[in-house]
Amino acid sequence: MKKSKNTKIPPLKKVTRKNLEKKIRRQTDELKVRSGQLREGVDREKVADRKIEEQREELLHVTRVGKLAEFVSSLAHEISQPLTAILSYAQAAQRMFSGREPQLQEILQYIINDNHRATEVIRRLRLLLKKSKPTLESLDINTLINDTATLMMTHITVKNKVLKLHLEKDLPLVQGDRIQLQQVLLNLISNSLEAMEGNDAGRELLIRTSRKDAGTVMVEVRDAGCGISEENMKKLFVHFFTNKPDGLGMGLSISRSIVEAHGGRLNVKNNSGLGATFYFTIPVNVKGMVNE
Amino acid sequence: MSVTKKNIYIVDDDESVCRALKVLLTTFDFEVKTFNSAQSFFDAVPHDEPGCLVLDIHMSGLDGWAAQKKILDSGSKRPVIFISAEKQENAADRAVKVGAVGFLQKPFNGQTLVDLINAASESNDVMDKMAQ
Repeated sequence: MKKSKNTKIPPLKKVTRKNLEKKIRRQTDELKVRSGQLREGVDREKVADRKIEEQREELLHVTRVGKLAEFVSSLAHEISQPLTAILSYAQAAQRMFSGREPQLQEILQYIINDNHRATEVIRRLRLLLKKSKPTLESLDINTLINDTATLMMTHITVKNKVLKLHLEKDLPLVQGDRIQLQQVLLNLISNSLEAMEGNDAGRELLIRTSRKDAGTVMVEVRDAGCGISEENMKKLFVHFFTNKPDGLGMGLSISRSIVEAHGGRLNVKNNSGLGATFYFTIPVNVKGMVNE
Repeated sequence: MSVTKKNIYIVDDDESVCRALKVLLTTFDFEVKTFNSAQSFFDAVPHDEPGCLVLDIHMSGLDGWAAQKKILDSGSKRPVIFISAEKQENAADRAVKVGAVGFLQKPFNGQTLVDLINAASESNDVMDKMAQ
């Protein structure tokens, strides 16, 4: 017993130190693992937070789009009532003075014409926001741009401008509502043309498509116009903001709503040279089919 | 020899629409009465009183569709033309389905309304004669 005690003590000391070192190493390793796990946990929470933030943002977008649709619908209704009365009065007056008072007749006709113009604005607005949720189908964005360009070609030529298309080949099909996306394109093209109005230095309007990432296609509409002042840049997408004498200030705000309802983003930047570029993203069709 | 003027009843909760349509239809030589609710129309005009009804759809209380149903349920053959400032999907189809003469989206041309009124009363006259 004694012997064994004597023989055991020295190695025990060594073992203890070794064991202690081992223990420390083990505990350090464990701590490292735990710290790693904690870090992972924190990262996971960060990701979860970011996801919640994204979802909240998404919800805000959806609410905004919905609210705009609701607002436009009630606005259209409220304006249609007085327009009905004005048109009826003007047509009644035309009949009352039929064959007489040519100047009055002319004025009445102007009232009727402008009434039709206001009605047309409402009709188009309604068409744009017919559904706050777009009917999504698989679309070839390049074909849509080509079709839209054809529609606008005469207008572009009359304005003495040049349209160039740089459409990336083999883009995947996107998820979109054909009519709504066409309205966005028409709005951006006609804005660009107006930005280049009376500006002979800038004549080129460029539409470019590209693949932004695996799930997104990007469309850019670049003009060589007057560009956008910093002050206007902030208000550009606000309803009823316009710097055009006969503008309604609704085109861009509606366009943004449409793009956002598609799960994309519409934005603008000034070019390093002349003019500005409006660009929007559209999610790729889930099936990811590649067009020809 | 005086020809009896055709009766037109306008039911719309928007007073200026009522007034303007009355002024317009009067120039076409109709006898026009206006009402700001379907209920006030039913209170004042018996079902068998002849006349075409120009009926707004979007109204508080009894709306246009409910008012038309009430007319049908009463057995009345009164021709009804729906009008609305609200954009409703398939409103024109629905109007015809429930037996109305037609549907006009506000604002509409006076002549279009008058054509519908005339078409409605002609077909009504024919039906009346056939019934006799």
